[in-house]
Amino acid sequence: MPFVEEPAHLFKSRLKSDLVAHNVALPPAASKKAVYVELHLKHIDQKNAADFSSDEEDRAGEDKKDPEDAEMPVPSCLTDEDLKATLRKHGVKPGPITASTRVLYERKLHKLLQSDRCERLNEADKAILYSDSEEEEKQQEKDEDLGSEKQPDPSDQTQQESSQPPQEPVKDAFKDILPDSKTTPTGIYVTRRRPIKGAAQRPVQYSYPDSPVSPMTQQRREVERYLVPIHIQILVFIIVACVLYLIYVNVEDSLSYWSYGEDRLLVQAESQDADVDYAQD
Amino acid sequence: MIRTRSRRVGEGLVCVCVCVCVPAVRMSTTSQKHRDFVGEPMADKPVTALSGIGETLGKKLEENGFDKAYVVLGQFLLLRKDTEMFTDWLKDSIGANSRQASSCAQCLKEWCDAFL
Repeated sequence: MPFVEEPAHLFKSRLKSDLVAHNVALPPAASKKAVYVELHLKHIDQKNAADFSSDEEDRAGEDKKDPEDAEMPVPSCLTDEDLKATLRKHGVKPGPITASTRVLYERKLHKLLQSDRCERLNEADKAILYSDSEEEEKQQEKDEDLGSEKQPDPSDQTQQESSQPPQEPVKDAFKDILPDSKTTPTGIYVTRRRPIKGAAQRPVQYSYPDSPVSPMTQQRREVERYLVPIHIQILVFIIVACVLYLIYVNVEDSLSYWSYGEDRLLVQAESQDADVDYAQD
Repeated sequence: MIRTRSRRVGEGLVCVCVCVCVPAVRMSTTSQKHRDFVGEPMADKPVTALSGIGETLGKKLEENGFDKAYVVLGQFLLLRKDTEMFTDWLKDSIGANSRQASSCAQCLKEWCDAFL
């Protein structure tokens, strides 16, 4: 925290968002501001004091996490400006970060970082898949390393790839996809990319709201959102058509039945007359 | 005589089916409240005028300081008119469910498209 603000001077909504950011359970919604101030003082200010006084201890603990933290900043510890910059790096254009919007942007950044982690793991898996059989022993060692630390160094993977001539097609494919990326002496510098939707081992996990779509697609999606889907419409249409057909057939049947019935009556009348005539004779 | 009666029954059934099925197929989910809000500038309307916001949610919004519809509009604009983030915020701050939150977001978005 760059500077400590007096909790009593903050707005209630700001206190709430701070509490949520520090994973503190919120009191009931109708509580007075004093309750929030108390909680804020209890949890957050204590935390700050602990941070300031036990820096050395924290550093020892943080060293292990440093390789991760260097790439993955914790959203709740960032300043507003840092949060904005990190979101911009991930392709999101954030609005003003205020008390009410901060929590939402922190959550968004958290989701993006998680998806980053998943992407990196997928890329590592992909690299392993493409590795040559001769290099299997080396790969097994690498696998163990990957298992222990969650963040495999992408440059190491590319080093391995570039050192093998049979890997040329893969490398060229990468270069085609990333023509603007800077090339290191060892190979290609792989940067974060959006996952290819539905590709093998890269199922769609997060749909970004700002992925490039044409305006027509956006319009169509918005309209489709509150109209009944097309399949249901077709189904209902077929059902209605069947019902109408059945009604039509029934009407036809009853018509023909009655006309048939009339004919039978006439025939019966004739035969009765014949009987009567016969009887009279 | 019998012929015409059954024909009339058949025609009646057909009419009933058509009247029931055609509107069902052309369903849309904009309510009257939605149409009322989106149809004119919101001026000083209370938060309960927003589609999806009833008495309970309206009270909770007022507790949080959002006593008029234009204040909620302000929050929507702060989030750059992003309906997803706005629905998250609504669910978070007042405990709205998905349907209510998305209804309110859609209502505001259409209002912005029409008047902003």
